[in-house]
Amino acid sequence: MGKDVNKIDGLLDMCIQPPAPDTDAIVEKTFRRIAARKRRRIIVSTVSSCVSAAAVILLAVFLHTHGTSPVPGIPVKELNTFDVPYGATATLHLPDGSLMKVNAGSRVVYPDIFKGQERRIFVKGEAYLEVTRDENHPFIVSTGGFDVKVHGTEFNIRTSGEGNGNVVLKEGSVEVSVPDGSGVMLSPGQMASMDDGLISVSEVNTEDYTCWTERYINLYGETIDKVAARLSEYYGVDVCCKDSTSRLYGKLEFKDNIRDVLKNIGKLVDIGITYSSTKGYTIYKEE
Amino acid sequence: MEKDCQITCIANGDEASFRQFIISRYPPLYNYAYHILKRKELAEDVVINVFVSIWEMRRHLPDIENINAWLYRLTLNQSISMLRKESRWISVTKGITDMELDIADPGPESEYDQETIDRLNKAIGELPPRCRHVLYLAKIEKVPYKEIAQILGISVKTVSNHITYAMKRLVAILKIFLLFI
Repeated sequence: MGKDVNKIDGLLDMCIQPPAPDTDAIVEKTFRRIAARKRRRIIVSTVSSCVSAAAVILLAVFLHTHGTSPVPGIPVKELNTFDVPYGATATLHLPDGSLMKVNAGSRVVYPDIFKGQERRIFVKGEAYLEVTRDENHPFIVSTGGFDVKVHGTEFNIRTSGEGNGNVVLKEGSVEVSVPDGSGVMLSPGQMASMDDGLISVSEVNTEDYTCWTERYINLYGETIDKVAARLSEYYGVDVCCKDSTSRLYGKLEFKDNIRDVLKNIGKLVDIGITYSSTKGYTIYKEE
Repeated sequence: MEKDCQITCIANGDEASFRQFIISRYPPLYNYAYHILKRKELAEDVVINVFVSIWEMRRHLPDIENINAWLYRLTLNQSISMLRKESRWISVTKGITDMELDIADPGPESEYDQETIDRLNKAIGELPPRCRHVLYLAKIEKVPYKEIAQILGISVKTVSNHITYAMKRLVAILKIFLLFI
């Protein structure tokens, strides 16, 4: 018995593990991931410390909880991730010929080629889509919270906070659905807003929701702190606003540099702006 | 002593030391994760995440009593949550409930042939999953019993029981075959 045990021990001793893959590559991947997480954490802290640019929380939460394949049924290796840096917008051509304009700090995950019955992509942040018509292959945008089923159309989608966001339809028709199965069909000029799994529909001026693709926004008396939150989200810079009463009207152009945008706001209302490398921009009311 | 120095350096944010740490610790952790997950890219992903979390909590490293056991524990936990996540996306759920462990090829110098290894593998496959898991850590990865107890949250006595049982079963299964080696 003891002798047999020794033989088994000897056998097990002879077994070695398969050689580990290239560890240098692993080191690089680890450092890249550390850097990426650092970036994400800065964004999140922007939100919690100052403004409620809730959209960015979703990115952190989503990547954390769904670190594998964000598009159900498609293996990670067949997916491309398109991340738009802060302070810029980008155009993305999808494999089916659809065109997307993707806003600053947003992410699109899409496959190399669309296979199967549906064309499914994932969007986090904000994007404007012009979808190529194909009746046989519905185009579906997943956000982690709600889905948008498209029937050849132009529309704007925006996610904010976990599962929340809105969809504005410019042309054609789309169907918005939430996980519990309820959904609505939108007509052009309508907006569906998702709030904790509830959908409400309202009539809007679509230009107000798509003008970011031309790098400006229309302001109708929004308070300055809301605008600051939007700028913080767009440029990926901390903007702390101590003034929540001043209102802004008119067309605000998104310049290449946030400093220029803040200067322009300074021409409209009496504010002071300070900058520190650790806290970012602070806006306060000048008496 | 050299190791303690490495940990202190990492705790102080020294990237070169952390590089060395990854290079030396990656192979056993990767193999461990691979045995649980059965997919290379997932195992790699899990272990990289383990390293990322180590870097993020590097300041507390010197306080950890047994780094080796703790690394295995982190890898095990992350592998299990990876399995849970994967099962949401992927219909293939094979190997999720049991932690099937294989023994890899023998080294080139081995006096045993492939047939021997195949028989051993088959015999190990007949062990209960938990027992296989303990056997793998103890005999293949050569992790001390005390550390295995910490990794799996069981007592040292239980670890030793598992090993005794595993060896007894393997002897019984391979009884006739053992006469020839």
